[in-house]
Amino acid sequence: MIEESDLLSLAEFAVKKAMAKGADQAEAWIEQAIETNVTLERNDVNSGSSSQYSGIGIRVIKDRGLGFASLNLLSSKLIERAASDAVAIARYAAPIEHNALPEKQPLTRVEIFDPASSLFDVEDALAMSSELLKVAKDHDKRVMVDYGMFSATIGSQAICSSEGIAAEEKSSVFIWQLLGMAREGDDVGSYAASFDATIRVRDINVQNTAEDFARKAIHSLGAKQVDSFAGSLIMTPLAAAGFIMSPLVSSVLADNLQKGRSQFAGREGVQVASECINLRDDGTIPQAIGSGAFDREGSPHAPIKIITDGQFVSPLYNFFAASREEKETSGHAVGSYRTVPRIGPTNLILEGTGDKVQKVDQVIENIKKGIIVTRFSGDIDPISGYFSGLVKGGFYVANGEINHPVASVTIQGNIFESINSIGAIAQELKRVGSWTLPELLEFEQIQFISERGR
Amino acid sequence: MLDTIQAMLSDLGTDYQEVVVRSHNLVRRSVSCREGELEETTTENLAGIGIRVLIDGGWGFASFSGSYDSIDNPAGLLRKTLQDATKISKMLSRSRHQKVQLAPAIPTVGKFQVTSSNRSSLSLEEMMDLALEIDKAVQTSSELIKSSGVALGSIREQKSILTLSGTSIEVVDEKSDLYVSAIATQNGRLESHTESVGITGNVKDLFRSKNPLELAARASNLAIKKLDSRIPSAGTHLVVLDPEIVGLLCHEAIGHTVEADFVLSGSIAKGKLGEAVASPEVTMIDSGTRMEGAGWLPVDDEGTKANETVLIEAGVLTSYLHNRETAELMDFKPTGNCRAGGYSREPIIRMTNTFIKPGDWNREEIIQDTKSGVLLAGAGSGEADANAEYVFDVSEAYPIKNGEVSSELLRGVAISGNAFETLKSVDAIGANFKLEMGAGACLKGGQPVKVDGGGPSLRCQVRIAGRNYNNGG
Repeated sequence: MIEESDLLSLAEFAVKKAMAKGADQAEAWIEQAIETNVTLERNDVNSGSSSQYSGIGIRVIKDRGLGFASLNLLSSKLIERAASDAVAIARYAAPIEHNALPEKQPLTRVEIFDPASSLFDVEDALAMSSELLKVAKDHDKRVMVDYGMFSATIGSQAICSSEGIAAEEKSSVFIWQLLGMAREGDDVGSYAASFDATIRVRDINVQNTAEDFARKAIHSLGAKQVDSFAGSLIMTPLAAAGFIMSPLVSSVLADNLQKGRSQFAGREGVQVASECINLRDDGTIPQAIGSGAFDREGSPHAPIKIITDGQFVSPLYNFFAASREEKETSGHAVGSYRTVPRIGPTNLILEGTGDKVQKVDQVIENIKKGIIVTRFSGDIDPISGYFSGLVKGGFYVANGEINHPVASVTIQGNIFESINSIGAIAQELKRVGSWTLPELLEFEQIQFISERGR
Repeated sequence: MLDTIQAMLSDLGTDYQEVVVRSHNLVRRSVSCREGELEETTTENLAGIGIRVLIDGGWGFASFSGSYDSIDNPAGLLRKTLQDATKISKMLSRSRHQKVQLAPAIPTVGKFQVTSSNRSSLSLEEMMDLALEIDKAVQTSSELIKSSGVALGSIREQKSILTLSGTSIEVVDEKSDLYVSAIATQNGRLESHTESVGITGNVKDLFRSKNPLELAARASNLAIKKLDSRIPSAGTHLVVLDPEIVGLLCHEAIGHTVEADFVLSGSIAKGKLGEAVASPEVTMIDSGTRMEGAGWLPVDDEGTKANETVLIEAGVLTSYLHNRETAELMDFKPTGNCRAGGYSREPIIRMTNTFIKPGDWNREEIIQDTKSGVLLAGAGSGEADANAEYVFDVSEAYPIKNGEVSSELLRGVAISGNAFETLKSVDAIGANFKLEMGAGACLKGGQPVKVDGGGPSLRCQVRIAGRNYNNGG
């Protein structure tokens, strides 16, 4: 592994070489990490690994043309060649007026590294994985762990540019998950999944994840068919993360808005969702997975309100997209050393506001007829918003009571219509990786189509 | 490098059941543009070495980035990586309930090279010009087109695999793909369509059977047609699947359930060998040997040479897909399906090119024989559960009435069902054949690898997620 201070030196070296080759502006992003990982398979410990990697991405501007080259071979000679390749691409590329690199801005350190993580090794990852398996199996013998993993990643990243940016930071991330199902005779339950992540060793809690997984797997046994009906779709955080957050995020990225790839184009200040919906992003939260002192192009992260009381307030910007609108970047450039900086969220928080915010128990009590969904399996077109697919791990709810798991129910609709028909939103929030969502989110008047028909 | 690794392997003690050393060196070139602007043009060089060790029934793996020639003291780093993998392997073996045993290796020696590696390809500058030309063709095709996008990419990878059990191979592979997307708008409604193609070969090979400007026209036309499309009625429908959907059916609906790791985990295919799982007309194969598919894999990442594995023969389930570990557990031979998504990943069981063998109907006959149904074409994404319940989206659907395909496009639909029930419902298989599932990759285990699928056109029954219930519509 390369010393941290040497990472910045290598980035500076790449920038100098690119400038010497004729670039007008140049930037180098460099990262390295050690990942230890232990996987589970078929109710047993499967394999352990230790991997180290590093890489550098060099972005250059020449006459407003953009060039980029990346490599994971950190030798001076090869970095110099990559810088030369990037300049050659930029010379050939057609100019775009707003191609430029951001200037240096003051940065504030955010705590995303736990010093205790330095002592974490494969043996610890093995202990955590074994615990995941034991807790899930002890919960109920019918639980089958198909796959599971615990990984620890200790990384460093540095950025240097011709515009004066020179910054570096260190991070630690622990991620663990379980996938599988319950089986009782010929009854194979729906696939269940649970995962969690943290940056601090003392916050690792594999027991909760394993219990959650086992409960989901067991509860989906004995699924029954229901008749087709129109009712409430109630989503748990993991289901909602895929169902609603992906199209929402796609719709609020400035480049998608500028290129007409978003339903929210031209609708800033306009109601785009139910008034009970607030969506914000904050990459400055200490000890959060998506946080950091700077984004992929060296600009500071900042808290931002995206949707407030259902109104679209602000898109997410990187420097290029912001320059197009003569605005400041919101600090949402994302990506690894392998790509040109794109736009993306950091720590997204979806929460309720107003009288539709209820406690979890109340949300369920108020459902006349609906299905609680723990997983949605299907297609969501982020542009049109059209979705269709299968409800997985669903539970039928009638008159405020959870009755039984359901099998094979299809749903279809348009997500941009559905987010204007929110019936209730749970007060309690749950973190799913770097996103935070309500424990339950109710969409009204969804058509559930069963094989049994009406 | 190979001599150093060979020397290192020959010095190992007898407690090693297997050691696999994989070296990857990959160059990726990609160009993307939107609405006439080049968004990204990149070159990428990724290299690394991974070592997998099996001692006393426990797997250990360690890897580092960089190529052998570009790092200081590579022999020392290799030995250190082997030591790390060995330590992990010993640690894991103590925690396993069931010790891993491997089916005997079938050592492979030689060099395997994609035929395109000797042919010229496009330069990066030519790729930039072409991407802009395709993008412009979409943009200027109609006033209804709001946005356009093109992504053109190619990968050239050199891989070496040396094993303690005697495999010593080098593979030179090339994969290329193209995405063309169009977004149309009218009366505030946005609709999009993406055409894609992915192959084994270089960028020039991409266009041997596909004209890029025709792809642009198709993307534009279908996005515009979707503006007036209606949602089909929900329920179980008689459908005619074109080869790309058959490929998706083979991959998502059946292929994953017969991967031996899923079988051992309790997939619905468990215990069904020798049973009728499909219509007697159905024979399904997975084959890494077919270079016309994007899933060409001459030797897998355990060093097993590619096979043509018959999964279903005349409707009867005949085999699963194996690595050496599952082959030993289930008393089979390894099928050459153990693949890693890069030097830093451990290999898992994956498909290659998965397809249904052609039958004796011609496509037109199948359609003429269909009084009421839906023609499905254009593969989207999909997934399947261990209980064989699958769902995937289809980008084109057209009603069939009285033996004729209507020109009316039904908007993108998700189809679903139980994989084996779907195959049991097959009642007509075409004589046509294509390995063509579009661009993209299988994402199992978070390790993207290129796969392909296809077959003939065929008729069966599937469930369509639509607006209103209409059984048998």
